[in-house]
Amino acid sequence: MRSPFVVLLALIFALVLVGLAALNSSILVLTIPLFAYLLAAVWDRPEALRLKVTREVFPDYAPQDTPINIRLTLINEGAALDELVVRDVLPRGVTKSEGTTARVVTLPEGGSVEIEYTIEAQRGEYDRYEVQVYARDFLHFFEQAQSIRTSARLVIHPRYPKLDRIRIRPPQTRGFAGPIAARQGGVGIDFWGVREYQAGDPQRQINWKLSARSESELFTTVFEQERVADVGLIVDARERTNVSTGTDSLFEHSAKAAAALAENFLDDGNRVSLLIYGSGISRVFPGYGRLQHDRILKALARATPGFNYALDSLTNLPTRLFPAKSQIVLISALMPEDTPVIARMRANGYAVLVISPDPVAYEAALAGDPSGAATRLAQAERTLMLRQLRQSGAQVVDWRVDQPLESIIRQAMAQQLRVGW
Amino acid sequence: MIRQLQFGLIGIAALVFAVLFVGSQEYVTAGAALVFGVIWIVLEVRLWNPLRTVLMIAFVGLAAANALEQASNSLILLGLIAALAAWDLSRFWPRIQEEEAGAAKTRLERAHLQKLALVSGGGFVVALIPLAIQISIQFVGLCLIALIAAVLLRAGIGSLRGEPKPEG
Repeated sequence: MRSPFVVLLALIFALVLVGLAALNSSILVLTIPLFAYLLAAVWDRPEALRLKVTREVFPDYAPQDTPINIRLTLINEGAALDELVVRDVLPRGVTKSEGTTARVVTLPEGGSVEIEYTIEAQRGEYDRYEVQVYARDFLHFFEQAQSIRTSARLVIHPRYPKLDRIRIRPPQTRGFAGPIAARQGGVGIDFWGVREYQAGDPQRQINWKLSARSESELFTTVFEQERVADVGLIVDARERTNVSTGTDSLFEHSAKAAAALAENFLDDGNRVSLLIYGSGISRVFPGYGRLQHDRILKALARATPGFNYALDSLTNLPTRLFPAKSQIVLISALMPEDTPVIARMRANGYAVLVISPDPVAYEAALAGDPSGAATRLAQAERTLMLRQLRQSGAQVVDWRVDQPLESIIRQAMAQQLRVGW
Repeated sequence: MIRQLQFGLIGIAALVFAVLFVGSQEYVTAGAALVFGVIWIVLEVRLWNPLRTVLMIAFVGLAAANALEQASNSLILLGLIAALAAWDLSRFWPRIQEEEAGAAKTRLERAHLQKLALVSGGGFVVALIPLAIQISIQFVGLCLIALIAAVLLRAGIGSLRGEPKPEG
Protein backbone atom coordinates (compact mmCIF):
# COMPACT_ATOMS: atom_id res chain seq x y z
CA MET A 1 0.00 0.00 0.00
CA ARG A 2 1.50 3.32 -1.04
CA SER A 3 1.03 6.85 0.23
CA PRO A 4 -1.48 7.96 -2.49
CA PHE A 5 -3.83 5.25 -1.23
CA VAL A 6 -3.55 6.63 2.30
CA VAL A 7 -4.09 10.19 1.01
CA LEU A 8 -7.35 9.16 -0.69
CA LEU A 9 -8.46 7.29 2.41
CA ALA A 10 -7.74 10.33 4.59
CA LEU A 11 -9.68 12.54 2.15
CA ILE A 12 -12.66 10.21 2.33
CA PHE A 13 -12.59 10.30 6.13
CA ALA A 14 -12.26 14.06 6.13
CA LEU A 15 -15.18 14.49 3.71
CA VAL A 16 -17.33 12.09 5.75
CA LEU A 17 -16.55 14.01 8.93
CA VAL A 18 -17.27 17.38 7.31
CA GLY A 19 -20.46 16.01 5.74
CA LEU A 20 -21.67 14.66 9.09
CA ALA A 21 -20.72 17.81 10.93
CA ALA A 22 -22.43 20.04 8.37
CA LEU A 23 -25.29 17.58 7.87
CA ASN A 24 -24.68 18.02 4.14
CA SER A 25 -25.33 14.98 1.94
CA SER A 26 -23.65 16.59 -1.09
CA ILE A 27 -20.30 16.41 0.68
CA LEU A 28 -20.86 12.74 1.46
CA VAL A 29 -21.60 12.18 -2.24
CA LEU A 30 -18.16 13.57 -3.06
CA THR A 31 -16.59 10.54 -1.40
CA ILE A 32 -18.07 8.20 -4.01
CA PRO A 33 -15.58 8.96 -6.84
CA LEU A 34 -12.75 8.64 -4.32
CA PHE A 35 -14.15 5.30 -3.21
CA ALA A 36 -14.35 4.23 -6.84
CA TYR A 37 -10.61 4.88 -7.18
CA LEU A 38 -9.80 2.92 -4.05
CA LEU A 39 -11.96 -0.02 -5.05
CA ALA A 40 -10.51 -0.09 -8.56
CA ALA A 41 -6.99 -0.15 -7.12
CA VAL A 42 -7.84 -2.93 -4.67
CA TRP A 43 -9.58 -4.90 -7.42
CA ASP A 44 -6.62 -4.60 -9.77
CA ARG A 45 -3.82 -4.97 -7.28
CA PRO A 46 -1.12 -7.39 -8.47
CA GLU A 47 -1.06 -10.87 -7.05
CA ALA A 48 2.00 -13.10 -6.76
CA LEU A 49 4.18 -12.69 -9.83
CA ARG A 50 4.80 -15.66 -12.07
CA LEU A 51 7.33 -14.58 -14.65
CA LYS A 52 9.64 -16.71 -16.73
CA VAL A 53 12.86 -14.88 -17.54
CA THR A 54 15.37 -15.93 -20.17
CA ARG A 55 18.55 -14.13 -21.10
CA GLU A 56 20.56 -14.41 -24.28
CA VAL A 57 24.08 -13.05 -24.51
CA PHE A 58 25.83 -12.74 -27.85
CA PRO A 59 28.74 -13.21 -28.19
CA ASP A 60 29.26 -14.96 -24.86
CA TYR A 61 33.05 -15.09 -25.25
CA ALA A 62 34.82 -11.98 -26.50
CA PRO A 63 37.74 -9.66 -25.89
CA GLN A 64 37.40 -6.56 -23.75
CA ASP A 65 35.55 -3.58 -25.27
CA THR A 66 33.61 -5.74 -27.71
CA PRO A 67 29.94 -4.75 -28.00
CA ILE A 68 27.86 -7.52 -26.45
CA ASN A 69 24.16 -7.84 -27.21
CA ILE A 70 21.87 -8.78 -24.36
CA ARG A 71 18.31 -9.89 -24.94
CA LEU A 72 16.07 -10.40 -21.94
CA THR A 73 12.68 -12.00 -22.42
CA LEU A 74 9.98 -12.10 -19.75
CA ILE A 75 6.90 -14.25 -20.18
CA ASN A 76 3.95 -13.68 -17.89
CA GLU A 77 2.73 -17.06 -16.69
CA GLY A 78 0.35 -15.56 -14.17
CA ALA A 79 -2.58 -13.14 -14.26
CA ALA A 80 -2.55 -10.03 -16.45
CA LEU A 81 -0.47 -7.17 -15.09
CA ASP A 82 -1.64 -3.56 -15.51
CA GLU A 83 1.78 -2.08 -15.25
CA LEU A 84 5.03 -3.95 -15.08
CA VAL A 85 8.37 -2.26 -14.60
CA VAL A 86 11.33 -4.40 -15.64
CA ARG A 87 14.78 -3.20 -14.69
CA ASP A 88 17.86 -5.21 -15.60
CA VAL A 89 20.65 -4.58 -13.10
CA LEU A 90 24.03 -4.51 -14.79
CA PRO A 91 26.77 -6.41 -12.99
CA ARG A 92 29.79 -4.48 -11.76
CA GLY A 93 32.27 -3.87 -14.57
CA VAL A 94 29.58 -3.70 -17.24
CA THR A 95 28.45 -0.49 -18.91
CA LYS A 96 25.52 -0.01 -21.25
CA SER A 97 26.47 1.46 -24.60
CA GLU A 98 23.16 1.28 -26.48
CA GLY A 99 19.52 0.55 -25.82
CA THR A 100 17.64 0.58 -22.57
CA THR A 101 17.82 -1.69 -19.56
CA ALA A 102 14.41 -0.76 -18.19
CA ARG A 103 10.88 -0.96 -19.58
CA VAL A 104 7.39 -0.19 -18.41
CA VAL A 105 4.74 -2.30 -20.07
CA THR A 106 1.30 -3.71 -19.63
CA LEU A 107 1.45 -7.48 -19.80
CA PRO A 108 -1.57 -9.68 -20.51
CA GLU A 109 -1.73 -13.27 -19.32
CA GLY A 110 0.76 -15.27 -21.41
CA GLY A 111 2.19 -12.07 -22.88
CA SER A 112 5.89 -11.38 -23.17
CA VAL A 113 8.23 -8.43 -23.16
CA GLU A 114 11.73 -8.16 -24.60
CA ILE A 115 14.52 -5.87 -23.54
CA GLU A 116 17.45 -5.60 -25.90
CA TYR A 117 20.57 -3.56 -25.33
CA THR A 118 24.30 -3.50 -25.94
CA ILE A 119 26.96 -3.51 -23.27
CA GLU A 120 30.70 -3.25 -22.98
CA ALA A 121 32.33 -5.19 -20.21
CA GLN A 122 35.62 -5.19 -18.41
CA ARG A 123 37.70 -8.35 -18.25
CA GLY A 124 35.96 -10.98 -16.18
CA GLU A 125 33.49 -13.81 -16.07
CA TYR A 126 29.88 -12.82 -15.59
CA ASP A 127 27.33 -15.47 -14.77
CA ARG A 128 24.92 -13.92 -12.28
CA TYR A 129 22.51 -11.21 -13.28
CA GLU A 130 19.61 -9.68 -11.47
CA VAL A 131 16.34 -8.52 -12.96
CA GLN A 132 14.13 -6.36 -10.77
CA VAL A 133 10.45 -6.38 -11.58
CA TYR A 134 7.70 -4.26 -10.06
CA ALA A 135 4.07 -5.06 -10.79
CA ARG A 136 1.56 -2.32 -10.04
CA ASP A 137 -2.12 -1.68 -10.32
CA PHE A 138 -2.93 0.94 -12.94
CA LEU A 139 -3.35 3.65 -10.30
CA HIS A 140 0.00 2.73 -8.71
CA PHE A 141 -1.54 2.33 -5.26
CA PHE A 142 -0.11 -1.15 -4.77
CA GLU A 143 3.21 -2.58 -5.83
CA GLN A 144 4.61 -6.08 -5.86
CA ALA A 145 8.40 -6.24 -6.20
CA GLN A 146 10.48 -9.24 -7.13
CA SER A 147 14.11 -9.85 -7.89
CA ILE A 148 14.82 -12.61 -10.41
CA ARG A 149 18.25 -14.07 -10.99
CA THR A 150 19.39 -15.37 -14.35
CA SER A 151 22.63 -17.12 -15.13
CA ALA A 152 23.73 -16.71 -18.73
CA ARG A 153 27.50 -16.95 -18.98
CA LEU A 154 29.67 -14.20 -20.42
CA VAL A 155 33.45 -14.41 -20.52
CA ILE A 156 35.40 -11.28 -21.37
CA HIS A 157 39.07 -11.94 -21.85
CA PRO A 158 41.76 -9.27 -22.03
CA ARG A 159 42.33 -7.52 -25.35
CA TYR A 160 46.01 -8.04 -26.04
CA PRO A 161 48.54 -6.85 -28.61
CA LYS A 162 50.07 -9.11 -31.25
CA LEU A 163 53.75 -9.67 -30.49
CA ASP A 164 56.67 -10.43 -32.75
CA ARG A 165 58.25 -13.81 -32.24
CA ILE A 166 60.07 -14.00 -28.93
CA ARG A 167 63.26 -15.96 -28.95
CA ILE A 168 63.63 -18.18 -25.93
CA ARG A 169 66.32 -20.71 -25.26
CA PRO A 170 65.35 -23.11 -22.50
CA PRO A 171 67.93 -25.74 -21.47
CA GLN A 172 65.59 -28.54 -22.49
CA THR A 173 63.22 -28.84 -25.43
CA ARG A 174 60.62 -31.33 -26.46
CA GLY A 175 60.92 -33.93 -29.21
CA PHE A 176 58.90 -32.16 -31.89
CA ALA A 177 60.26 -29.79 -34.49
CA GLY A 178 59.78 -26.15 -33.72
CA PRO A 179 61.48 -22.77 -33.75
CA ILE A 180 63.62 -23.05 -30.60
CA ALA A 181 67.29 -23.90 -30.78
CA ALA A 182 67.61 -27.22 -28.98
CA ARG A 183 71.35 -27.13 -28.11
CA GLN A 184 71.73 -30.41 -30.02
CA GLY A 185 73.18 -31.15 -33.38
CA GLY A 186 70.92 -32.47 -36.10
CA VAL A 187 68.68 -31.12 -38.79
CA GLY A 188 68.28 -27.37 -38.65
CA ILE A 189 69.39 -24.06 -40.12
CA ASP A 190 71.99 -22.61 -37.75
CA PHE A 191 75.52 -23.98 -37.78
CA TRP A 192 76.24 -26.24 -34.80
CA GLY A 193 79.61 -27.88 -35.63
CA VAL A 194 81.41 -30.45 -37.75
CA ARG A 195 82.11 -34.11 -37.20
CA GLU A 196 83.63 -36.97 -39.14
CA TYR A 197 81.54 -38.26 -41.99
CA GLN A 198 79.40 -41.25 -41.11
CA ALA A 199 77.84 -43.58 -43.59
CA GLY A 200 74.36 -42.36 -44.44
CA ASP A 201 75.09 -38.65 -44.03
CA PRO A 202 73.54 -36.66 -46.88
CA GLN A 203 76.07 -35.65 -49.48
CA ARG A 204 75.07 -32.00 -49.38
CA GLN A 205 76.01 -31.81 -45.69
CA ILE A 206 79.62 -32.79 -46.36
CA ASN A 207 81.88 -29.88 -45.46
CA TRP A 208 84.03 -29.91 -48.61
CA LYS A 209 86.36 -27.11 -47.56
CA LEU A 210 87.38 -28.87 -44.37
CA SER A 211 87.48 -32.26 -46.08
CA ALA A 212 89.85 -30.84 -48.74
CA ARG A 213 92.35 -29.93 -46.04
CA SER A 214 92.40 -33.52 -44.80
CA GLU A 215 94.19 -36.30 -46.66
CA SER A 216 91.78 -39.14 -46.19
CA GLU A 217 88.81 -38.05 -44.08
CA LEU A 218 85.51 -36.46 -44.91
CA PHE A 219 83.68 -34.09 -42.53
CA THR A 220 80.02 -33.41 -42.19
CA THR A 221 78.50 -30.09 -41.16
CA VAL A 222 76.03 -30.44 -38.28
CA PHE A 223 73.22 -27.96 -37.72
CA GLU A 224 71.48 -27.10 -34.50
CA GLN A 225 68.17 -28.82 -34.09
CA GLU A 226 65.09 -26.64 -33.67
CA ARG A 227 62.31 -27.91 -31.50
CA VAL A 228 59.37 -26.84 -29.45
CA ALA A 229 59.65 -26.23 -25.73
CA ASP A 230 57.64 -26.22 -22.57
CA VAL A 231 56.72 -22.71 -21.52
CA GLY A 232 55.17 -21.97 -18.16
CA LEU A 233 53.52 -18.61 -17.74
CA ILE A 234 53.23 -17.36 -14.17
CA VAL A 235 51.01 -14.36 -13.54
CA ASP A 236 51.51 -12.64 -10.22
CA ALA A 237 48.05 -11.77 -8.88
CA ARG A 238 49.11 -10.85 -5.36
CA GLU A 239 47.27 -7.78 -4.15
CA ARG A 240 50.46 -6.29 -2.71
CA THR A 241 52.13 -6.16 -6.12
CA ASN A 242 49.11 -4.56 -7.72
CA VAL A 243 48.48 -0.84 -8.08
CA SER A 244 44.94 0.04 -8.96
CA THR A 245 42.98 3.13 -9.83
CA GLY A 246 39.24 3.42 -10.19
CA THR A 247 39.22 2.16 -13.75
CA ASP A 248 42.59 0.56 -14.36
CA SER A 249 45.16 -1.50 -12.52
CA LEU A 250 48.63 -2.81 -13.06
CA PHE A 251 47.23 -6.33 -12.95
CA GLU A 252 45.12 -5.62 -16.03
CA HIS A 253 48.33 -4.96 -17.94
CA SER A 254 49.83 -8.18 -16.58
CA ALA A 255 46.78 -10.12 -17.78
CA LYS A 256 47.05 -8.55 -21.24
CA ALA A 257 50.76 -9.37 -21.40
CA ALA A 258 50.08 -12.97 -20.35
CA ALA A 259 47.44 -13.35 -23.07
CA ALA A 260 49.76 -11.92 -25.72
CA LEU A 261 52.68 -14.10 -24.63
CA ALA A 262 50.51 -17.22 -24.53
CA GLU A 263 49.38 -16.63 -28.08
CA ASN A 264 52.92 -15.95 -29.21
CA PHE A 265 54.37 -19.12 -27.69
CA LEU A 266 51.45 -21.29 -28.78
CA ASP A 267 51.68 -20.00 -32.35
CA ASP A 268 55.28 -21.20 -32.39
CA GLY A 269 54.05 -24.69 -31.53
CA ASN A 270 55.23 -24.70 -27.93
CA ARG A 271 53.46 -26.43 -25.08
CA VAL A 272 52.25 -23.69 -22.78
CA SER A 273 50.80 -23.78 -19.29
CA LEU A 274 49.59 -21.02 -17.00
CA LEU A 275 49.71 -20.48 -13.28
CA ILE A 276 47.97 -17.56 -11.58
CA TYR A 277 49.41 -16.88 -8.16
CA GLY A 278 47.35 -14.60 -5.92
CA SER A 279 44.51 -15.24 -3.54
CA GLY A 280 44.87 -18.87 -4.59
CA ILE A 281 46.67 -20.86 -7.21
CA SER A 282 44.78 -21.46 -10.40
CA ARG A 283 46.35 -23.45 -13.14
CA VAL A 284 45.90 -24.36 -16.79
CA PHE A 285 47.68 -27.61 -17.52
CA PRO A 286 50.20 -27.70 -20.40
CA GLY A 287 48.74 -27.94 -23.87
CA TYR A 288 49.09 -26.92 -27.47
CA GLY A 289 47.18 -24.93 -30.00
CA ARG A 290 44.12 -22.73 -30.26
CA LEU A 291 42.12 -24.66 -27.70
CA GLN A 292 44.83 -24.19 -25.11
CA HIS A 293 44.90 -20.49 -25.93
CA ASP A 294 41.15 -20.29 -25.23
CA ARG A 295 41.66 -22.12 -21.93
CA ILE A 296 44.35 -19.65 -20.94
CA LEU A 297 42.22 -16.68 -21.95
CA LYS A 298 39.30 -17.97 -19.90
CA ALA A 299 41.56 -18.44 -16.88
CA LEU A 300 42.90 -14.92 -17.35
CA ALA A 301 39.34 -13.60 -17.66
CA ARG A 302 38.53 -15.08 -14.26
CA ALA A 303 41.73 -13.91 -12.57
CA THR A 304 41.51 -11.17 -9.97
CA PRO A 305 44.19 -9.84 -7.66
CA GLY A 306 43.76 -11.09 -4.13
CA PHE A 307 45.41 -11.66 -0.81
CA ASN A 308 46.39 -14.92 0.83
CA TYR A 309 48.71 -15.20 3.83
CA ALA A 310 50.22 -18.43 2.52
CA LEU A 311 50.92 -16.94 -0.90
CA ASP A 312 52.11 -13.56 0.31
CA SER A 313 55.58 -14.14 -1.09
CA LEU A 314 56.73 -16.13 -4.11
CA THR A 315 58.47 -18.59 -1.75
CA ASN A 316 55.58 -21.01 -2.08
CA LEU A 317 55.45 -20.77 -5.85
CA PRO A 318 55.04 -24.38 -7.01
CA THR A 319 57.69 -24.37 -9.72
CA ARG A 320 57.73 -28.17 -9.60
CA LEU A 321 54.54 -28.05 -11.59
CA PHE A 322 56.61 -27.03 -14.60
CA PRO A 323 58.77 -29.57 -16.45
CA ALA A 324 62.43 -29.55 -15.44
CA LYS A 325 64.67 -27.14 -17.36
CA SER A 326 61.74 -25.61 -19.15
CA GLN A 327 61.14 -21.94 -19.89
CA ILE A 328 59.34 -20.00 -17.19
CA VAL A 329 57.90 -16.58 -17.96
CA LEU A 330 57.03 -14.67 -14.82
CA ILE A 331 54.84 -11.61 -15.20
CA SER A 332 55.12 -9.70 -11.98
CA ALA A 333 55.62 -6.20 -10.66
CA LEU A 334 58.04 -7.89 -8.23
CA MET A 335 58.81 -7.23 -4.58
CA PRO A 336 62.41 -7.02 -3.27
CA GLU A 337 62.05 -10.37 -1.46
CA ASP A 338 61.16 -12.10 -4.75
CA THR A 339 64.74 -11.92 -6.04
CA PRO A 340 66.08 -15.00 -4.16
CA VAL A 341 63.08 -17.06 -5.32
CA ILE A 342 63.79 -16.28 -8.95
CA ALA A 343 67.52 -16.94 -8.41
CA ARG A 344 66.59 -20.33 -6.96
CA MET A 345 64.48 -21.10 -10.02
CA ARG A 346 67.51 -20.37 -12.17
CA ALA A 347 69.63 -22.58 -9.91
CA ASN A 348 67.10 -25.37 -10.36
CA GLY A 349 67.75 -25.25 -14.08
CA TYR A 350 64.79 -23.27 -15.38
CA ALA A 351 65.23 -20.55 -17.97
CA VAL A 352 63.47 -17.59 -16.46
CA LEU A 353 62.13 -14.59 -18.33
CA VAL A 354 60.68 -11.90 -16.07
CA ILE A 355 58.31 -9.35 -17.58
CA SER A 356 57.91 -6.76 -14.90
CA PRO A 357 55.32 -3.98 -15.22
CA ASP A 358 56.87 -1.00 -13.48
CA PRO A 359 54.73 -0.12 -10.41
CA VAL A 360 56.87 2.88 -9.51
CA ALA A 361 56.39 4.65 -12.85
CA TYR A 362 52.71 3.68 -12.88
CA GLU A 363 52.07 5.09 -9.45
CA ALA A 364 54.19 8.19 -10.11
CA ALA A 365 52.19 8.89 -13.27
CA LEU A 366 48.98 8.58 -11.25
CA ALA A 367 50.31 10.92 -8.57
CA GLY A 368 51.52 13.32 -11.28
CA ASP A 369 54.98 13.46 -9.74
CA PRO A 370 57.35 11.43 -11.94
CA SER A 371 60.51 13.16 -10.74
CA GLY A 372 59.86 13.52 -7.02
CA ALA A 373 62.44 12.38 -4.49
CA ALA A 374 60.30 9.45 -3.33
CA THR A 375 59.81 8.28 -6.91
CA ARG A 376 63.52 8.49 -7.65
CA LEU A 377 64.38 6.53 -4.51
CA ALA A 378 61.82 3.83 -5.33
CA GLN A 379 63.08 3.70 -8.91
CA ALA A 380 66.67 3.29 -7.71
CA GLU A 381 65.59 0.45 -5.44
CA ARG A 382 63.79 -1.22 -8.33
CA THR A 383 66.75 -0.80 -10.69
CA LEU A 384 68.97 -2.46 -8.11
CA MET A 385 66.50 -5.34 -7.74
CA LEU A 386 66.30 -5.88 -11.51
CA ARG A 387 70.10 -5.80 -11.75
CA GLN A 388 70.34 -8.51 -9.08
CA LEU A 389 67.84 -10.55 -11.09
CA ARG A 390 69.89 -10.19 -14.27
CA GLN A 391 73.01 -11.20 -12.35
CA SER A 392 71.24 -14.35 -11.22
CA GLY A 393 70.81 -15.28 -14.88
CA ALA A 394 67.18 -14.35 -15.39
CA GLN A 395 66.12 -12.41 -18.46
CA VAL A 396 64.37 -9.26 -17.32
CA VAL A 397 62.09 -6.95 -19.26
CA ASP A 398 61.36 -3.75 -17.36
CA TRP A 399 58.00 -2.61 -18.71
CA ARG A 400 56.56 0.84 -18.25
CA VAL A 401 52.97 0.05 -18.99
CA ASP A 402 52.32 3.34 -20.77
CA GLN A 403 54.61 1.99 -23.51
CA PRO A 404 53.48 -0.86 -25.77
CA LEU A 405 54.67 -4.27 -24.65
CA GLU A 406 55.63 -5.12 -28.21
CA SER A 407 58.20 -2.33 -28.50
CA ILE A 408 59.58 -3.03 -25.03
CA ILE A 409 60.12 -6.70 -25.87
CA ARG A 410 61.61 -5.76 -29.25
CA GLN A 411 64.11 -3.49 -27.49
CA ALA A 412 64.92 -6.22 -25.00
CA MET A 413 65.46 -8.71 -27.87
CA ALA A 414 67.81 -6.27 -29.59
CA GLN A 415 69.71 -5.88 -26.36
CA GLN A 416 69.84 -9.65 -26.07
CA LEU A 417 71.45 -9.88 -29.50
CA ARG A 418 74.03 -7.24 -28.56
CA VAL A 419 75.15 -8.39 -25.13
CA GLY A 420 73.28 -11.58 -24.43
CA TRP A 421 70.80 -11.76 -21.60
CA MET B 1 -1.71 12.49 -25.81
CA ILE B 2 -1.48 11.86 -22.06
CA ARG B 3 -0.01 15.33 -21.52
CA GLN B 4 -2.70 17.14 -23.51
CA LEU B 5 -5.40 15.21 -21.70
CA GLN B 6 -3.81 16.00 -18.38
CA PHE B 7 -3.65 19.74 -19.09
CA GLY B 8 -7.23 19.62 -20.37
CA LEU B 9 -8.45 17.93 -17.18
CA ILE B 10 -6.66 20.45 -14.96
CA GLY B 11 -8.21 23.23 -17.03
CA ILE B 12 -11.69 21.71 -16.73
CA ALA B 13 -11.38 21.29 -12.96
CA ALA B 14 -10.12 24.85 -12.46
CA LEU B 15 -12.76 26.33 -14.75
CA VAL B 16 -15.64 24.37 -13.25
CA PHE B 17 -14.80 25.41 -9.70
CA ALA B 18 -14.11 29.00 -10.76
CA VAL B 19 -17.46 29.21 -12.54
CA LEU B 20 -19.28 27.71 -9.53
CA PHE B 21 -17.65 30.21 -7.17
CA VAL B 22 -18.40 33.08 -9.52
CA GLY B 23 -22.02 31.87 -9.48
CA SER B 24 -22.06 32.16 -5.72
CA GLN B 25 -20.26 35.53 -5.99
CA GLU B 26 -17.12 34.35 -4.24
CA TYR B 27 -14.67 35.91 -6.62
CA VAL B 28 -11.57 35.47 -4.46
CA THR B 29 -12.12 31.71 -4.18
CA ALA B 30 -12.89 31.58 -7.91
CA GLY B 31 -9.55 33.30 -8.55
CA ALA B 32 -7.87 30.85 -6.20
CA ALA B 33 -9.28 27.92 -8.23
CA LEU B 34 -7.83 29.41 -11.42
CA VAL B 35 -4.49 30.10 -9.73
CA PHE B 36 -4.31 26.50 -8.50
CA GLY B 37 -4.97 25.31 -12.04
CA VAL B 38 -2.28 27.57 -13.51
CA ILE B 39 0.27 26.52 -10.88
CA TRP B 40 -0.47 22.86 -11.55
CA ILE B 41 -0.08 23.27 -15.32
CA VAL B 42 3.14 25.28 -14.96
CA LEU B 43 4.66 22.67 -12.66
CA GLU B 44 3.65 19.89 -15.03
CA VAL B 45 5.18 21.71 -18.00
CA ARG B 46 8.44 21.99 -16.06
CA LEU B 47 8.30 18.21 -15.42
CA TRP B 48 8.82 18.82 -11.73
CA ASN B 49 5.76 18.66 -9.62
CA PRO B 50 6.16 17.78 -5.95
CA LEU B 51 2.86 19.61 -5.26
CA ARG B 52 0.56 17.44 -7.35
CA THR B 53 -1.04 15.75 -4.34
CA VAL B 54 -1.36 19.05 -2.48
CA LEU B 55 -3.06 20.60 -5.50
CA MET B 56 -5.41 17.64 -5.84
CA ILE B 57 -6.33 18.00 -2.14
CA ALA B 58 -6.89 21.71 -2.73
CA PHE B 59 -9.34 20.92 -5.54
CA VAL B 60 -11.15 18.41 -3.29
CA GLY B 61 -11.36 21.20 -0.71
CA LEU B 62 -12.83 23.52 -3.34
CA ALA B 63 -15.37 20.84 -4.23
CA ALA B 64 -16.37 20.51 -0.57
CA ALA B 65 -16.63 24.29 -0.25
CA ASN B 66 -18.87 24.41 -3.33
CA ALA B 67 -21.02 21.63 -1.88
CA LEU B 68 -21.46 23.69 1.28
CA GLU B 69 -22.54 26.59 -0.92
CA GLN B 70 -25.27 24.34 -2.35
CA ALA B 71 -23.85 24.62 -5.89
CA SER B 72 -24.75 22.25 -8.71
CA ASN B 73 -23.77 18.76 -7.54
CA SER B 74 -23.20 17.34 -11.01
CA LEU B 75 -20.79 20.18 -11.84
CA ILE B 76 -18.97 19.73 -8.55
CA LEU B 77 -18.62 16.01 -9.30
CA LEU B 78 -17.35 16.82 -12.78
CA GLY B 79 -14.71 19.17 -11.38
CA LEU B 80 -13.72 16.66 -8.69
CA ILE B 81 -13.40 13.78 -11.16
CA ALA B 82 -11.39 15.94 -13.56
CA ALA B 83 -9.02 16.87 -10.71
CA LEU B 84 -8.68 13.21 -9.64
CA ALA B 85 -8.01 12.06 -13.20
CA ALA B 86 -5.46 14.88 -13.72
CA TRP B 87 -3.75 13.84 -10.48
CA ASP B 88 -3.57 10.24 -11.67
CA LEU B 89 -2.15 11.22 -15.07
CA SER B 90 0.30 13.54 -13.35
CA ARG B 91 1.60 10.48 -11.45
CA PHE B 92 1.41 8.20 -14.48
CA TRP B 93 3.41 10.39 -16.88
CA PRO B 94 6.77 10.32 -14.98
CA ARG B 95 6.52 6.53 -14.83
CA ILE B 96 6.36 6.14 -18.59
CA GLN B 97 8.16 9.19 -19.97
CA GLU B 98 11.49 7.33 -20.24
CA GLU B 99 9.84 4.59 -22.26
CA GLU B 100 10.61 4.68 -25.98
CA ALA B 101 7.69 5.58 -28.22
CA GLY B 102 6.28 2.52 -29.87
CA ALA B 103 3.48 0.01 -29.93
CA ALA B 104 4.14 -1.14 -26.36
CA LYS B 105 3.97 2.38 -24.98
CA THR B 106 0.81 3.15 -26.93
CA ARG B 107 -0.75 -0.07 -25.60
CA LEU B 108 0.20 0.87 -22.04
CA GLU B 109 -1.21 4.39 -22.40
CA ARG B 110 -4.41 3.13 -24.00
CA ALA B 111 -4.94 0.49 -21.31
CA HIS B 112 -4.38 3.06 -18.59
CA LEU B 113 -6.73 5.62 -20.12
CA GLN B 114 -9.44 3.01 -20.67
CA LYS B 115 -9.33 1.93 -17.04
CA LEU B 116 -9.16 5.51 -15.82
CA ALA B 117 -12.18 6.44 -17.96
CA LEU B 118 -14.08 3.45 -16.64
CA VAL B 119 -13.34 4.26 -12.99
CA SER B 120 -13.98 8.00 -13.40
CA GLY B 121 -17.15 7.49 -15.42
CA GLY B 122 -18.36 4.79 -13.05
CA GLY B 123 -17.65 6.98 -10.03
CA PHE B 124 -19.49 9.90 -11.64
CA VAL B 125 -22.55 7.85 -12.52
CA VAL B 126 -22.71 6.11 -9.14
CA ALA B 127 -22.32 9.48 -7.38
CA LEU B 128 -25.24 10.91 -9.37
CA ILE B 129 -27.62 8.18 -8.14
CA PRO B 130 -27.86 9.31 -4.49
CA LEU B 131 -28.50 12.86 -5.68
CA ALA B 132 -31.75 11.64 -7.19
CA ILE B 133 -32.80 9.76 -4.05
CA GLN B 134 -34.02 11.45 -0.92
CA ILE B 135 -33.71 9.33 2.24
CA SER B 136 -34.38 10.57 5.69
CA ILE B 137 -32.32 8.94 8.43
CA GLN B 138 -32.21 9.79 12.09
CA PHE B 139 -28.95 10.91 13.60
CA VAL B 140 -28.54 7.68 15.59
CA GLY B 141 -29.09 5.63 12.42
CA LEU B 142 -26.56 7.71 10.59
CA CYS B 143 -24.02 7.21 13.36
CA LEU B 144 -24.67 3.46 13.24
CA ILE B 145 -24.10 3.39 9.48
CA ALA B 146 -20.92 5.44 9.92
CA LEU B 147 -19.72 3.01 12.62
CA ILE B 148 -20.41 -0.02 10.42
CA ALA B 149 -18.62 1.68 7.51
CA ALA B 150 -15.63 2.47 9.73
CA VAL B 151 -15.44 -1.15 10.98
CA LEU B 152 -15.69 -2.51 7.44
CA LEU B 153 -13.06 -0.10 6.25
CA ARG B 154 -10.74 -1.08 9.12
CA ALA B 155 -11.23 -4.77 8.26
CA GLY B 156 -10.56 -4.03 4.60
CA ILE B 157 -7.32 -2.19 5.34
CA GLY B 158 -6.25 -4.95 7.70
CA SER B 159 -6.87 -7.50 4.98
CA LEU B 160 -4.85 -5.46 2.47
CA ARG B 161 -1.94 -5.22 4.90
CA GLY B 162 -2.09 -8.97 5.44
CA GLU B 163 -2.82 -8.64 9.19
CA PRO B 164 -4.07 -11.84 10.92
CA LYS B 165 -7.72 -11.89 11.87
CA PRO B 166 -8.40 -11.49 15.61
CA GLU B 167 -9.10 -14.85 17.25
CA GLY B 168 -12.45 -15.67 18.83
